[in-house]
Amino acid sequence: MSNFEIFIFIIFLICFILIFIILFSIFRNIINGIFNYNYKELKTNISSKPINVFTVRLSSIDYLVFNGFWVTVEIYSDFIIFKMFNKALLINDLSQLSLTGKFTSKLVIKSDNNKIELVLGKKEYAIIKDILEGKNV
Amino acid sequence: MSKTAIIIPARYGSSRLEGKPLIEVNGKPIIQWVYEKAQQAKLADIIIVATDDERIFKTVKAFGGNVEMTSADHKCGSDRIREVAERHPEISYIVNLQGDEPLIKPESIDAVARNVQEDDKADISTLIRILKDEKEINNPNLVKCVIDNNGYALYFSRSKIPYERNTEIATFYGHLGIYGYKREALIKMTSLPQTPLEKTESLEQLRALENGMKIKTSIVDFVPVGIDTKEDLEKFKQIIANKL
Repeated sequence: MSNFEIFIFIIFLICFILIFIILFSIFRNIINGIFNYNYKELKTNISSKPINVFTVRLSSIDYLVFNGFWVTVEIYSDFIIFKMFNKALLINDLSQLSLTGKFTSKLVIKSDNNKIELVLGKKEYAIIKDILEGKNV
Repeated sequence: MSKTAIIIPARYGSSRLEGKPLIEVNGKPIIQWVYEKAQQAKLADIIIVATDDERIFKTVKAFGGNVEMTSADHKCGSDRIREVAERHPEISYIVNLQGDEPLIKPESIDAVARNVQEDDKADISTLIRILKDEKEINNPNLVKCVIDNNGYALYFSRSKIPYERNTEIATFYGHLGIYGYKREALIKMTSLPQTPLEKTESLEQLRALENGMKIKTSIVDFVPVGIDTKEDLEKFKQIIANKL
């Protein structure tokens, strides 16, 4: 490998690392902005047990596709917690939630100015549907 | 992440002034006067009116306020506040602001909130004011308070306390019915059974003291106008008229 090739390789490596750092920072800021509570701190304030807990796949946040990340959904009688890593999104008002329909099976969360979409399985879809129809809360 | 909420319990029924949260003064219901004072406080993140009455719910919604329905079975305002707090795990500090205190100063609300936010030892916080008028000092409806050197309440009583053996150094403090709670203190207090002194004096805050909880006080210099009777309402109307 010539000196020039090593130089090009190093430049590529540095560019790759920089792009990775930038993307990671953007991702972290988006997650921290939306999942704005520390999950452990939030849990210390909850004395009741969740009615239902399941894990679903994150589909998108606003217009950004986030495949490959998982969100734990904890359903309580008066609120729902969406947990990602050690961060949590708390939803007290069920009108912030909607389902996109039978075929797409997505849960849409509107929080502040953000729109988060989660992919639901059949069972999870039914649970959320019942909650939104007031059958399970 | 620790959020501070002002929760305003509001009931329609009142033995002396039925439907007082909805009585309009200068085109605004009393509950809206109180809500707007709460909005002026700097240390609160959330304001919630807690009510068991549809009419109050609709009125608060109509002026754009945040309101939640609670059970009609609560025996006291603290239980109503606890119900709301349990729905909001994001709330770590709670200020219980009475729905009939439209002239409360926003700085006083902040003082109550600050005491529970910043003082690790304080489970609960409240306000007191210096009493000078003998009539007030001897009035059993005006609760007196004695405090220690650090401002923590030693006792609350409807009696004149302390006993003035030395009249020249006696200071009397009157209690104002606004409370700040750490979340766990509110849950603890509302879970405890009534205590002997609480029952004797009919003062809920004694339950906290009898169970070793600390109540931090701040001294304020205003005379509150709580609206309990038609006379209080007229007084409030007059104050508002004089301000305009």
